[in-house]
Amino acid sequence: MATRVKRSVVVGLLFLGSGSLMACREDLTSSLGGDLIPVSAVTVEGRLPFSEFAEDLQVWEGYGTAVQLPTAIVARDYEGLLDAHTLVSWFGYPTSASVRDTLGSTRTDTVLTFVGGKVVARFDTLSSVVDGPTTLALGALETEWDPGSVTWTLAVDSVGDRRPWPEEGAGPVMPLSTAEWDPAAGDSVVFEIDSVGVALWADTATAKRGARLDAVTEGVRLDLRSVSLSLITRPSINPDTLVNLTVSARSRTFVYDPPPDVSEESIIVGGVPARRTVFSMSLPRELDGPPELCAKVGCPLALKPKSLISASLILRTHAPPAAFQPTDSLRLDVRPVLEPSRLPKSPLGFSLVGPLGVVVPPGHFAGEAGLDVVLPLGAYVEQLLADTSEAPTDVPRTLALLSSFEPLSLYFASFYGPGSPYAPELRLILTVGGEVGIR
Amino acid sequence: MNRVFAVLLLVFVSAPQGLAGQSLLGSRGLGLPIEPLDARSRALGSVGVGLLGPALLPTDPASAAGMAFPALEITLQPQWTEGTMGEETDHTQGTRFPVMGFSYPVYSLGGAVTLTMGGFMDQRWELRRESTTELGGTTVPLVEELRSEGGVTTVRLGWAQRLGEDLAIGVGFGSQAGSVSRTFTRTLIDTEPGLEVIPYQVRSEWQYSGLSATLGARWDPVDFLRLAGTATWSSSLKADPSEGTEGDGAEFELPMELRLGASGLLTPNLIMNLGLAYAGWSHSAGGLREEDLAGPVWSFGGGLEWTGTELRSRRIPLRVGARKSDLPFRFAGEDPIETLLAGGIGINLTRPQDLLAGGVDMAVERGRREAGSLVETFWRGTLTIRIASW
Repeated sequence: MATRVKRSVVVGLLFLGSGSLMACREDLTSSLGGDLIPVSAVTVEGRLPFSEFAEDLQVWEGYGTAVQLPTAIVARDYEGLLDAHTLVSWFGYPTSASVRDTLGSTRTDTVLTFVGGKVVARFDTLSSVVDGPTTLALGALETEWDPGSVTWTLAVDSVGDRRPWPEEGAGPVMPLSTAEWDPAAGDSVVFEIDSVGVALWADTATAKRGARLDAVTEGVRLDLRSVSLSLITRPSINPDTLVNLTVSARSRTFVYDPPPDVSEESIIVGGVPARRTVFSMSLPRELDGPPELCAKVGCPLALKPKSLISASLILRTHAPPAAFQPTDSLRLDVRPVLEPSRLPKSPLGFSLVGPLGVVVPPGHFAGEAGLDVVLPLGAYVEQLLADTSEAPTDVPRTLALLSSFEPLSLYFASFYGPGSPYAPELRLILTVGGEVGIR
Repeated sequence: MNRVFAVLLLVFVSAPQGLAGQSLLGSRGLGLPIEPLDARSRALGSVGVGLLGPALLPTDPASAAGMAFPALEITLQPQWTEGTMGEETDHTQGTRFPVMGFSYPVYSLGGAVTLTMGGFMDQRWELRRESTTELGGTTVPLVEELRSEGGVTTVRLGWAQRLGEDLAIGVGFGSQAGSVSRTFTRTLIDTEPGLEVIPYQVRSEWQYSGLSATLGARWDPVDFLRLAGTATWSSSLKADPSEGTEGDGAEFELPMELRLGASGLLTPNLIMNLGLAYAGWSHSAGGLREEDLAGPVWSFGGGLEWTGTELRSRRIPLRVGARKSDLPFRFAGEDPIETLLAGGIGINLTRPQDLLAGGVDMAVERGRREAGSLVETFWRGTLTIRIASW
């Protein structure tokens, strides 16, 4: 009997369980009685000019260096303005090599004779700006330089050590070779180096000085992806044979001139070294316009966090100097500045627009007329509005506009600044609704 | 056995508070009334009093007087509704636990103590409206939704006392409890690219409290007839706003409820049940408004139960019933009415000689609610599982 009772209880519970599962899905939404919703709400839009929501705009530069970029630049009078030289330093030459001797056995040869060499440069054919075959020159640098701080005028620019180039533009150099690159024929160009040239870099100190790559043809800008040195070597154990030994680049960077001339009123983001634009938020507590908004909800309208459904910083693009015109999309980021007093070295908070930033196509910077770039700041502005004297919070009020990847490129994003008719705006969308009652 | 009771007790304690809404009518007044009835009562169209045999019903505290063993009952109720208003049609569905109860006989006093939890008002519903707004010179579509979640439940402690062979009385004292939250959401959709817009949302919540007392009696003047009646008094139902709620509270006057029922044996295996219920709802300042109320609420119902069917020495009662009820809160100025036809079956899972009694009752109802242009038709199932033993 006990078994039967248990079975009966189990059956009953199964009934209960299956019934519950069968009808557990709740679907209460009804569109029939929509007109019976006893709550009314109005959505309005307000646009604050820069002076009404922010102050203290500053552009800081010096974040990152060209050596961190994946591509280097070679340019000559590009857009009538830009000159850029790529600098590359080498590791020391190999001191031994495994070579097959005259009997066919592989042996290590430590007596190598370098009879010549080739420097192979590979370019990005899509992003390089070039009309046809281009002549390039390679020269050996004669001055020590620091890849992390080198500029057009300074070979070394670090703390306590500031050494100018003897000749501006990373000069002088000892000419080694010239070559012509035809983009239609391939993405690489080869510089033939004779034994004298190869001998120049045989010493580790001179190898570190490396080479400078220049454009001879005017009006070009080439994006260089890689450079390598290949040594033509005659081994002592098999002098009738020539072998190629590769020497890797120790570092690669570029220097350029002139630095971009940008207005103090502009908002600049990116470039190399990268720039950041910093400003402080000073939101009003209420809106007293525009007339369309006041007509709908009455003014002044108190800005409350729960009413805010969207907040966006709107920037208008400004065409940078043609030589610095973006050729690929940029990613803009906005981060809170955690300790503004320590700028330009203040730590930054987490991104307010997402880890990958807001994508801005290069075409946005092509014309003079500003195009809108929308940076969503809803959650941040909501925190600012919640920060009242009665309930103070420690939400940072200083924001930095920067490139999501820093540095990203020679080119940069440029926007109209506060004094312009195309000045930034803060677009607020608010919904004002009545209370939800119980009756 | 103890383990089974423990499991059932756990279900009892952890079950949702029995309130799910599947009717637009629930968006009016205090919601859609829920009667704490089991599947047998539902199948017979009963108002919840005067059924032959012992029962565990909050509406009839005296009905537990005949229960010989400690018993536990749980009822669940899925419902599928199709509503039409004008040319529009909508579907909703959901489930609820309208009643759960436990009784324990005290032989030395000749009575039984009961603990029941039953639904009172269902306040789960959601209304949706589509519209547009002008934003920056552009017409933007939007959706507004008002969602209500919660309801009112009554928890009662009762006592049923036999007074001789033919008479029993019962009393129950209870507390109304529960809460309701209402959330209004306005969502802009298809805004311009790059613009992030979050929904606007306002939420308020209230906690309910109140008291109720029920007095009931049943009388078997002859062997084949039972008469019963109950009266339920309730204090005003207070709705206090929870912390952070901007809306005001409210205090609703609840009516005295009267229920009368009778059952008779037409043949040794055929039982007839009839009943009526009355509640005189009234408006009050700060509570229900006059225009919200439909006036006095009457409910009539009755049904037949055939107990002559057996399967492997177990009784399989078959039931049919019908019921017509007023609903207390007007919809769009119209007085709503609910009519339904019901059928059901009972399955005794144990034989009479078993010490443990277990059973399942099931009812299926086809109903219709009308209020002006709103017509709702629904299928409602009710399943009660009961178990009784030492």
